[in-house]
Parts: sequence; structure tokens; C-alpha cells
Amino acid sequence: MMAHHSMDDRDSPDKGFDSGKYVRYTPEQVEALERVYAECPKPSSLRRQQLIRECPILCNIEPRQIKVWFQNRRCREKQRKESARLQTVNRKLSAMNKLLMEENDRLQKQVSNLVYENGFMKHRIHTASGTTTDNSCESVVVSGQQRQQQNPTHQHPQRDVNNPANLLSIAEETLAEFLCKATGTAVDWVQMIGMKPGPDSIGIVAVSRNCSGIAARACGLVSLEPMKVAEILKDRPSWFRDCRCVETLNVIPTGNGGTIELVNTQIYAPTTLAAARDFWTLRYSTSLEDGSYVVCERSLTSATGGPNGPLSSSFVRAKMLSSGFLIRPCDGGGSIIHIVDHVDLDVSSVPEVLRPLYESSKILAQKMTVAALRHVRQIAQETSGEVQYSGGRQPAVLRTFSQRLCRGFNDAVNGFVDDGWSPMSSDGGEDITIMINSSSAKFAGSQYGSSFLPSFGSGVLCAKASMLLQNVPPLVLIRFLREHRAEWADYGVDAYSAASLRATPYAVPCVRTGGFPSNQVILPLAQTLEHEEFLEVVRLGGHAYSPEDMGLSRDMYLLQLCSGVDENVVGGCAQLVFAPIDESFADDAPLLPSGFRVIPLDQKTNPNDHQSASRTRDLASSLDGSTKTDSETNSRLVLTIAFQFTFDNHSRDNVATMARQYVRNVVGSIQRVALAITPRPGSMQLPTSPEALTLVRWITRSYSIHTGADLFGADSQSCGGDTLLKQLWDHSDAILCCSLKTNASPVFTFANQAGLDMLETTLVALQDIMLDKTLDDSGRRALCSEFAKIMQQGYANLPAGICVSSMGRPVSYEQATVWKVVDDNESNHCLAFTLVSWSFV
Amino acid sequence: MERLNSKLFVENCYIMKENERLRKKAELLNQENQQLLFQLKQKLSKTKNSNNGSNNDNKSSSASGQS
Repeated sequence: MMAHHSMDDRDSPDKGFDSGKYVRYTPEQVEALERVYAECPKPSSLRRQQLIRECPILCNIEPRQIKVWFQNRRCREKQRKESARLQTVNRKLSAMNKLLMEENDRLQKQVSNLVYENGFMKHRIHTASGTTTDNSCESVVVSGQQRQQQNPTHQHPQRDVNNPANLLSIAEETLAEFLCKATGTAVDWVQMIGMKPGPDSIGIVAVSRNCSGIAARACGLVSLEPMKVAEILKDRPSWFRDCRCVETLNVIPTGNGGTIELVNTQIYAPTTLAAARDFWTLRYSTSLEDGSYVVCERSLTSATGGPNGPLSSSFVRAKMLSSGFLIRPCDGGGSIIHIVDHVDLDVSSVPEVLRPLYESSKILAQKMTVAALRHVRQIAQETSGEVQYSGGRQPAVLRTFSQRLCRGFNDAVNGFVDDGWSPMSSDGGEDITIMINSSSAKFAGSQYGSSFLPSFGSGVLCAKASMLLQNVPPLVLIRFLREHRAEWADYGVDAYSAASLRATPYAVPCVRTGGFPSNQVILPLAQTLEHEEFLEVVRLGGHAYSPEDMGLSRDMYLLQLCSGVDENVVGGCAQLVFAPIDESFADDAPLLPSGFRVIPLDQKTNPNDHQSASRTRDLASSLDGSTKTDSETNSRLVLTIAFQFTFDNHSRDNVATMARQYVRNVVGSIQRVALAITPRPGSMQLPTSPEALTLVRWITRSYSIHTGADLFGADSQSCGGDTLLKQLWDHSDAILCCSLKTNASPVFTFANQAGLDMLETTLVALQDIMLDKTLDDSGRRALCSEFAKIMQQGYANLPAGICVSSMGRPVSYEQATVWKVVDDNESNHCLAFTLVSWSFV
Repeated sequence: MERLNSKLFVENCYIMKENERLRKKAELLNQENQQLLFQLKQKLSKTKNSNNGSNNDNKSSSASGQS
């Protein structure tokens, strides 16, 4: 309304390009024009003429003027959008500015305090000689800010939880401690490296250093009201993926309008190697005088009257030091949130090798603190309608899918007794744990609706294992597992899992070592704002290889969640979880998730960790956010695998055998993959075996024998094997070799880096790819027609064409040369190809 | 608005840089602080030891590891 009002009321001088003549439109005319604009902002001249004809009220206006009206209208719309965008950016920038100013203020105070303190101490040292007493020493120590951080939990006098007055004093103390951490320096905060600053950043994230326990802090802005934020954040299981449950055991209102709750929180164990954790805390929610809202929480210890041991033997009692969130209303709507998490996960009860995981404040930041902030932001964006989702699903529905996948996987990894899991006797090998869950009532009660119980047969069986891998980049591993499912998955086993969703009985497959290759297509469903989590549907295409496999030739679907694969996310714990789902994709479809989780272990014990943690990046490099963490080389990670299958009473042992064998196979595949993707010093993956050297010698020699030219130009003949190998490896054209057997279709045996990139594969996986599958029809025909010539003359040139990568992506090339590679005895060894100037189409 | 935004952005960058600088400074000062604290403790315990002679006071014995 406003837009056209101003347009017809004024003869604006800034529209000089209309060449003078202005027309005044009546409100009715404008309304008619607006109606057309709403349908079509850019009508053709035909449509405009039609408009004048159809609308009598417009008949006194020249067609040219109508055209101008539409031009102006579009221009105005564009300006309005732009200004809305600018205002959004402005709000973000202003809030960020405020936060930064506050931080600046804090830092300045900290610096001036330190300067003062140091001055004082210097003075003392110079005048101390002989004149000071014990007391002054004490006072210096106490005046230092280290007091709080070295001893954040000084001993409290015995207090009793059962006495509400005492509870309030514990609550108030928790609040004070929390506020010191949230806005002050009660913890020695260092900014988390690699978090992207700027108006689109999640916020300011800091982690603790040298304090008892581990702590993380995040501060950010969201466009939600404080009470809404509090409500979201208090519902910990909705955003903290590792939170199994939060049970409020008691609610006590306090006199000042706040609430005290006694809470038991259970946290899943991330691996199968250590027990889960639980917390017994006091949670205090209250408003502050300045209008902000606080929820803070701290463990009740035996000193403060809390219960001693964990409630169940599956848990180890962990300690929460004063943590919580502070939500301040922000001018112009929205809230500024400060979140602090500070916990002591009882490292001593964990196997030594896993300890870094329980001692890393970065992992805490990623899994809890930042996750909380992310979740609130995600909901804020969804509420404001900024998020657009495909597939016609509500964002909340998709989020529930993600949550259920995660939960189901966590339940499988943990196998809690109170969910009904019990271990099954092993076959002697201790590498893989098999657990079964036949108590459907408990199973149903814990996580699944009882509605689909029949579809899970008489029980669920889980085969799981955790292992350590060295020098494997975690992100690359998860990405590989996602993109190259055929490298590790068995089609028959997938089909068994898929069939268990249907009523039709399906025979337990025997696991084949080779497995069936299956082609997968990944259809994205949703992703979170920062792209750290993807929900997708994987379609596994069915081929029938033999008559008895005909039954499984139909397509199968997996609902899959891939998280932590964004390189910009720091502290990377990545996982790939999937569950078979039927074609209906019902919102409440039964899900029985399986999957992988990799968690990098950084060397915490390293004394240099200090420096690396405090290492700050300069502004320029932190703005682009692309710097890789150097921990990716020479690192260790824990890989946890859990696969779940349903079974019937009579098939239990068969399923157990199949599951155990399958998980062993998968572990084997992963070790193979890990070997292939381990970065080696120098150039990536460059093979240096004597066989590779020999092959490269044959390839280049054969090329020059047949064609009379050198593969790498004139000066390459003289160089040694190593240089030759490197030249071929780094060559920008794809160079591929494939087998040359009369009785079998050719498969690739070797490729240089460009060739592997082109086929989107690795040296190991390459050897399963058939030449026929890579070339398209005309390529195959061209090769067939030239084949005789190649055998006779040794080589042939093929015209430009298209081939397909192992992921199904088309690749174009400008020219191809094929030659036969002969070995030292002049007998045919293989066929070599160069594909010149290839690129993905 | 555009100009205001870029001004804010530059200002934020500037404050970020400034905060970074302050953080570094605070860290250095903190280190100095620790060192001074250590020196002071040593000095005090030395003084104390010389004052008390061979009398072993349990309160300062922990800080007098080195002489």
C-alpha cells in the first residue's frame, strides 16, 4: 500500500529518467496495476496492451506509461528488499558491536587490574627484603585473580539439601559463580580457534584452559524473546544429542519468584569403551534486577547433601560446576545469550587412551555449548520463516527424524540395562560386542512408539565395536563412508534390514566378503544453518545379479544423518547414522539406526598444548575461516561402529552370526579405506612401491615406442624412476590403466592423481571399477572400433567424449589416447589411457 | 544504511583486533604476574628462612624448594 501511495502522490524529481511526463494514477488504477504486478511483475508488451483493453479505468493511460509504472514498481520492490536485508545486517552488526564493546570493557579492566597487581608485586619484591611477614605473602596470593580459577570449588560447609533455606544459599552461590564465568574471568577463557567471526557468525566461543574440569562459553544473539530462549535451552535433550534424559525430581519455588529444581541428567557415552555419565544437580532459574533471566546449575555433592553414587550401575557420576545460561533482552527485540558449561567428567574412570576425549574443552564446546546456541538460532530462523525446506516437511518433523536417528544410535552404542539390553555370549573374539534386546515393553517405553513394535520381530540385536585409528583425517573418513557406501556396505545385508520393515519374511543373508556393489543416490532433505548436519535419503538401486537375488532387486531407502563434516566446524566429532525406511516416509516411521562415529583425540598431555591453545590467529586469516587445524596430521581417532538388526525367535543365532561377520567385514573395509586415505608426507597417496615404479616405466616406455613421442615432453627420458613416477602422478591429464584380459571385462588397475580425481575414487577402490561402466556408449563404440588398431599399431587416438565417474557424475574430455603397455618381455601387460583436458560437466 | 553497516563492520573488525591485542596483553601480564608471584614467594620464604634460622616453619616450607 505504502509503495504506490507515495508513487502517485508525488512527482518525484529523482525519476528524471522518465523523460519528463508524469502521470497521476487514481487509487483504483493503482489497485488494478498492483493486482497484475502481484501475478506477474514483468508483463510483456502484449500483456500490457491486453491490460489496457481489459481494464477500462486504465484506458486513458499510454502504454509507455504503463511500462514505466512497472519498471518503477520493480525498482521499488528491489529497493525495499535491499533495505530489509540491510536492516537485518545492521541489527546483527549492532548486536555484535555491543558484545564486542562489552568484551573490550572486560579486557581493559582485566589488563588494568593486572597492571596494578604486577606493579604492586614489583614494589613488594623490591622492598620486601627483610621487612615483610607471612601475612603479606598470603594477601598477595589472595588478591590475585588466580584465586577463583585455581580453586573454583572451595569447600563449602556442610549443608543439607532437605532444608530449603540451605538450598537457596547453594542456589545463590551457584548464581554468583556462574555469572563470574559468564561475563567475567573466573575461568581462564581463551577464544576458540577457528570460529568464524563476522555478522553471520554463531557468536563468540571460548574454552577453558588450566582449570579444574573443562569449561566452554558461548555468547550470541538470537531473535527470540528471553523466556522462549530459556524454555528451549532448559529442554536439554532437544538440543544436546548426547543427553539421554533429564529428570526433574523436585521443584521448589523460592521467595524471590525463582525456582529451584533437583535434577538428574544422564549423558550417553560416546564410545563403547567407557561408561555413560550422570549428573545430580541443583538448577536455579530466576530473573535478575536488570531484566535478564538466568538458569544456573551445579552438582550437589555429598558435602551439600546430594546423593552419593549414581542411580544405576551403567553410569559414572560426573560433576557439574556452576554452569548455566544468562539471557538478556536486547533493544529492538531478541536476546543476547551467554552460555557456560563447566563439568568434571571423572577422567580417572576412563581408559587412558580415551582420556583426551573427557579432558577436551573443545569437544565440550562443540557438543554442548555451541550446540545449544545453534539450536536456539535454528529455531529462531524457523520461527521467522527464513528457513526454506524442501520436500514439504515441517522443519520440526525433519529435526525429529535427526533426533531419533541420533538417539537410536546412542542407545545402540550404550546398550543400557534399563532399556532391556543384555549381552550375548561371544564366539571367542572379543573385538565385537553383541547385545540383544528382547524385552519389547522396555524397548518401546524408552524411545519408540509401541505402534510399530510388530515390525521389529521378537527383538533387536546390536553388533558394536570401538577402535583406534592413527593418522586418519576424521572428516575425510566419514565423507568417504558416506559417498562410497559400496566400499563397505553389503547389499544383501541392507536388503535384510530393509525387509524387516515389511511384513514379508526374509532369509538371513550370508555375508559375502566381496559384497554386492550397489549404486546409491543421495537425496538431500534438510541441513542445519551452519551446514554441520545433513539429513538425507539414500536410495540404494537394486540390481539382480542372479535369479535367486531377484527378490532383492527393488530400490531400498535409508534415512541418513551425516554430521560434523564441515571443515569450518572446530573440535570435529563426525558421525554417519542411517536407518532403513520404507517408501512411505511417514513422520512416525520406525527407525532402527546403525552407523559410525569418529572422534579425534587430541594430545592433551603434550606440554606444548598450552601454546597451541592460546595461539591466536590474526584477523585476516580468521575472517576467511578456511584455515585447517594442524591436528589433522599425526593424530588419533576413536571409531565407534554399531549396527542393529531385528530377529525372530528362530533366527536369533543366525542373525547374530551374520551381524558379527558383517561388522568384522565393515571394520576390515574401514581399515583398508583408512590406509588409502591416510595422508603421507609429501604428495598425497603417491604410491612408491617397486611395482608402481616398474609400471610407470612400462607405461612411459610403451608410449614413446608406439607414438614416437614422449609422454612428458622431451627431457623426461633421462630421469630416474622416482621422478618419472612423480611426473606421472602429478600430471594434469588423467592417466589410467586397465586390465587386458580376453575372458573378463577390463577393470582399472592404476590411475594417477588426476585420474583418481576424475573417477572420484581412491587407488584401492579403483580396482573395483570397470572400464565399461566408465565409458559412455559412443566411447565404448569408438574403443571397440579402434581396438584392433591398438593391438596392431600399439596406440590410437579417440575423439572427444563423455565418461562417468564412480559417483555417476559425467566427465567430458577433449581427447583420449589409448596405448598398450608392454612389459620387459614385450608381452602385453595392460591398456593405458590419457584423457586430455577433462572436466566435470 | 549501507554506509552505516560498513562503518559498523569496520568498527567491529577494529574492536576485534583491539580485543585480540588486549587478550595478548592480558596473557603476557598474567605470565608476568605468575612469575612475580613466584619470585615474591621465594623471596619471602628466603627472608623467612633467614629470619627463622634452622627453625622449620611448616607454612613456608612448600615454597622453599629451591634456594
